[in-house]
Amino acid sequence: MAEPQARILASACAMELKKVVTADGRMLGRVFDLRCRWEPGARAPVVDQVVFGKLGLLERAGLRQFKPRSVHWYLVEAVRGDEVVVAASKR
Amino acid sequence: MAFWLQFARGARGARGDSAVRIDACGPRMTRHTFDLLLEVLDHEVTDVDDVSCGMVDDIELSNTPEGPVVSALLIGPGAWIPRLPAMLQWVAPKVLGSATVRVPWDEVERVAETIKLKSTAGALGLGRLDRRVGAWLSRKPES
Repeated sequence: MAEPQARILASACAMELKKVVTADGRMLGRVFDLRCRWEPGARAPVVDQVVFGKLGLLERAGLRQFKPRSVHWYLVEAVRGDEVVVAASKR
Repeated sequence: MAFWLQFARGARGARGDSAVRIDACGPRMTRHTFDLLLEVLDHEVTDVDDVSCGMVDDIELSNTPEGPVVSALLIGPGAWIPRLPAMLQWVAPKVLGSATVRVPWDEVERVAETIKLKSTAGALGLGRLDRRVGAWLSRKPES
């Protein structure tokens, strides 16, 4: 099977449990899921949001009534080592 | 699941209220967003003939200008062995091998209770062990 044109970023399992930190070094939590948007028949799903934090863990466990914290992928500045670096919030 | 759906259907007859259709696959069929690790990882994969071809053991992500996209499903021991504790990561490949089948996302038809593919398992190189065991059993005179 032909390899895709795009560069292989990582596997989803490799992203799981990475630390989510802001550019100024504040730890926000750990990655528990990657939220994608996709329409059947359309192109491959695009990762839209990173779900993190303790409520993300509960949602992963199937407790869907919790609204976990998430950050849009466009705010992700880098994925390096064990960290996902997101833009620093003004709050 | 089918048992509870049948129960719900039976209850409709008694009380006259609406019930879930037995063939309903839930809201995921119509939603355009899904959680990759919750709703795809470790889910069963079925081919176009509804033959089970294993579980999604990992998911390959590729970097594109739009952001990361899901490029393939990875199925087989080579995909799940890295998720094991360190000691088992050393033993498992020696016992189970490290074969991995890469199924491009273009082959995915639907994400629901199972991940339905557009092609047959054989065409994608899935279920090789099942076919080998099936062929071996068919050669046995008593089968």
